[in-house]
Amino acid sequence: MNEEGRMLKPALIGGVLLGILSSLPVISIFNCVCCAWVVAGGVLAAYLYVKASPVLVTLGRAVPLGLLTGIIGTAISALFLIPLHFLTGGAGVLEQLQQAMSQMPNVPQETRQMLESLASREGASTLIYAFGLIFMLLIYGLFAMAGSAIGVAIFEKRKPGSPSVDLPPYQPPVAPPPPPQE
Amino acid sequence: MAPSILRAVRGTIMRQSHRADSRTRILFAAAWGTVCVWIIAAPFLALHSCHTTAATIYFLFSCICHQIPERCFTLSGYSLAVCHRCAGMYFGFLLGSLYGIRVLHRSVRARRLMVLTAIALMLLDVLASAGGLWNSTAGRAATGLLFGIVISSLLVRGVSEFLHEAPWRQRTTDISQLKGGLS
Repeated sequence: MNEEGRMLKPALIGGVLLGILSSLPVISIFNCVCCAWVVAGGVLAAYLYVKASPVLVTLGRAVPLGLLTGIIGTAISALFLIPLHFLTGGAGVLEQLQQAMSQMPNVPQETRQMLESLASREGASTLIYAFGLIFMLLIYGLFAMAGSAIGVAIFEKRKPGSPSVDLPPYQPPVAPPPPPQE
Repeated sequence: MAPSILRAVRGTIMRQSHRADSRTRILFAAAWGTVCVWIIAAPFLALHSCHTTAATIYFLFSCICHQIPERCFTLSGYSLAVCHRCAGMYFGFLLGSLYGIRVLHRSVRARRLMVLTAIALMLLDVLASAGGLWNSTAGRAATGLLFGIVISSLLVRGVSEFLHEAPWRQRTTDISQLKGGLS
């Protein structure tokens, strides 16, 4: 199996884990701590990849692994979040926008109402949501890459130049027995 | 003759890898710089009555940060788009992409030690803060900054290595070798 093929399984496991944990209502709050689940998904993928790899895993291999994990994680999150968005009629977007508005206490009442009415419109809320998903893809990709680099830095203990696989020690060929004397 | 050719080849490879590294640095510095500008722009825009744009930035960062006002730096009464720790981290990402840590790449052991130290300090600050033992704005920002610098240095090196050993680059090398062999 080539390197890319070997990368798929750890990335899938890490991506599914980060996607599910980032979408669950209460558990996803941990993502507020430096995207903890996204970084954890990247670290898990790197751990599995390093464990399965017969050769030394460089930071250069951690980058595509993390990126793949982040993309899979975003896709899994979107699978959970998009139906939820349409079921609630964009209430989540409105709630998040209200939270964002709370950061600006001096906003005039008219502006606040205008923004809220804009967010409650079907088309606009979907557009905001789509923009949010693209932003999520970028951030998840970057943080999963960071997680993957952390994983490789922690779990890859082989030194460059050391034998990459656990080969049995060299045995010199045994000299053939002398031909029988007649 | 042969040693001078070898020296020239080695110099070219070193220059090429250095160029790839600096290109990656520029790319990352630009990306993290944009994020940092957005973080500062949110309160600045809110201050200058650009509420829609400011709300959009706050909304986007609300996906990745709790944005608790007491835990955010403020600019003229408006909080930044992210909390103390995240702000430290993003500015650390920017600093780390501009100035890499050389000690980090000296050996596998040094790299592991530095990464574990950065993570442990941040976790210690999070746990002490959650347990009510310690509550310091400077501590949150500093541990975030250290984490950001270390991780950014790792990422820059990783992307640089990836670009250097990318499959399309190897294919080009193979084709040029084939051409050399034919002629």
